[in-house]
Amino acid sequence: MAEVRIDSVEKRFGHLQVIHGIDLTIADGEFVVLVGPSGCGKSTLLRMIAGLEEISAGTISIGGRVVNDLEPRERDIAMVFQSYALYPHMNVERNMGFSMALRKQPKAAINEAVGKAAGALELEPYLARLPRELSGGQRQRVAMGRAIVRRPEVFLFDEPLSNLDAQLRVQMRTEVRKLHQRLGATSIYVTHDQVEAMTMADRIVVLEQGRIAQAGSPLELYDRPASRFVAEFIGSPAINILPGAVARGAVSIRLPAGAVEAPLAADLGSAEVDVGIRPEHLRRVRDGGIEGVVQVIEHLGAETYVFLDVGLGRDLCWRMPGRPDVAVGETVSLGFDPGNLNLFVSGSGERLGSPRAAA
Amino acid sequence: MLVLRGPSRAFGYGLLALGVFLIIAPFLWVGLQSLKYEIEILKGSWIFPPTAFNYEDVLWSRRSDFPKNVVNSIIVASVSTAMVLVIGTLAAYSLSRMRWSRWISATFLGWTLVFNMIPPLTLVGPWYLLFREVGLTETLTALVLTHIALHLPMTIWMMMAFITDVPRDLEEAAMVDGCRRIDAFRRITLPLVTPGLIAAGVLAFVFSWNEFAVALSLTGRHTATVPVAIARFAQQYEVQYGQMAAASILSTIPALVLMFFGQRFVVQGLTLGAVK
Repeated sequence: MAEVRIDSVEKRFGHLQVIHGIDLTIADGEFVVLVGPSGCGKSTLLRMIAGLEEISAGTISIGGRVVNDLEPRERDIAMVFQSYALYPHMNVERNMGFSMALRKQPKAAINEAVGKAAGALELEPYLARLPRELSGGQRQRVAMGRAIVRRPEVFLFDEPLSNLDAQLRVQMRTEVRKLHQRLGATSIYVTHDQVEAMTMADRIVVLEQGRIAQAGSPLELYDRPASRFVAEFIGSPAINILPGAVARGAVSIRLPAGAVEAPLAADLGSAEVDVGIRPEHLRRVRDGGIEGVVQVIEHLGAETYVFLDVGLGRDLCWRMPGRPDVAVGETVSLGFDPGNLNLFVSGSGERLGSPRAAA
Repeated sequence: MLVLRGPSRAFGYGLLALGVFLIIAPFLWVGLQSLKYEIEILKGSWIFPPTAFNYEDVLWSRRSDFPKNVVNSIIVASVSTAMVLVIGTLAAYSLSRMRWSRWISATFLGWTLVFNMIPPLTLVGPWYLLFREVGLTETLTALVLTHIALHLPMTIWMMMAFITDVPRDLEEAAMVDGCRRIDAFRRITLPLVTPGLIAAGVLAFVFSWNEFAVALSLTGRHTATVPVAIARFAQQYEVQYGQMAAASILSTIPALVLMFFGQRFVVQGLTLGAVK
């Protein structure tokens, strides 16, 4: 087991810099998810940890050993690829035992390790099959099994679930998490799916254009996003962003129908802001709230998403528990607790300061 | 799938039959000549008593060099094919996988392409002088070297298509699992491009086996290959039509056998990347 330290790591492809000085320490046994939109550099960072990409500047160390100049095979890692990368000409058993066979371990030890992993992943009936004779979910499990048999210091996952259908993905999410709890190995998991990140991570690292936008526990990121980017990236349905201003201890949300004012717990000075309201923090009020016309109602059973036109061009999402008592075309007034607002400075998108923290 | 019906179907089959006839007819004609005595050939008769005399004469008669020519051809074709496969596969791997700067790979591939477009005959003169300088004229070594040079571009291009088709992830997974790059190449990539090796190998062998222009000028009496030997049946004062035909038929056997077994891979190799 090992700690992974990333110190001022940069990556350039020719003149194009894709990673701009990232510092990150991943504790022994921690499950860290790197998340971000495509092109944010998350896969590149993972591949640099794996040794599949050269490091342009900075150092990466695994278990206290600087690995910059080590080959992937010398880093004691295992990686699960998005494509699974199963060896097409080897059966499941040989795929899973390949790393041990390379290290010239005795046949009996290989069989035992493969058997154990196959048992845990319910792959025993398929050991003699070739990868092309397996379903997507089974292939995915073989890829995981191959990583387990390797018994590495660090597990690396590169979007391992994104080729699965939705139902299987949810199931495998739990499997991966269980696997981590059983093995306790340091794990770094790359995904563009923020739901995966929220549900699996001990700690999420949000990357934006090759920089860390925020790192923290899932709830920290959800409740106190450091920037508008993080706020919009984390959470589904996405946070509502409305234009507004802060002055004299109050926030005013500017809507075409008129401003909605709310007091803040602390005086944050005066600034133009983007006001972020999570859909579940809206509630229906008789009047004096944000007024909008119901456009679309999405029923999820346990809860309902209602999309309202408030005259801003993009719809406001209201997430209500249970079944709706509104109809399409109806005008609804929505209120909120100012303590739940996230305020971001217009333009820079930086967090202005949390009303809740101040309260 | 193109489906033809009615008259167009008949027309289609007619065209096909014509094509097959155009390809097969000369071959059959040569086959017929090989079974005739000289006199029947000169008479141009269609009905004749068949004889194996030509084959016996070519293969077993004391004055015939043909068995020796076959051995020469086998040596040249096998050695040059083996070398072409080794060099070509490694070159293709390097060009496909290593991040060469675009200039290097473009220059290299462009050169191979140009080289492939030059008629080999233009190279024969320089090669002859070259090999005479180093004392390699009339040796099989010289011929093997030229055949390697001639067939390397085609092999590189073909193997590149096959190697590029193998996902990079596989090698990376192998390297994470504990392989050095060379092991990943040997244990993962190479087994997966075996069809490509067969296809490229068959083509290189057949081309080398049939190559005439270079072999004619670089070989002597003892190092002549089969195509050269066949041409020598036509001499200044006498053309041995029967023996020539028999030798021609015999010379097609290795190519036919190889094509028969390798056909599937060759077709796949030539169309790889074209249809996906």
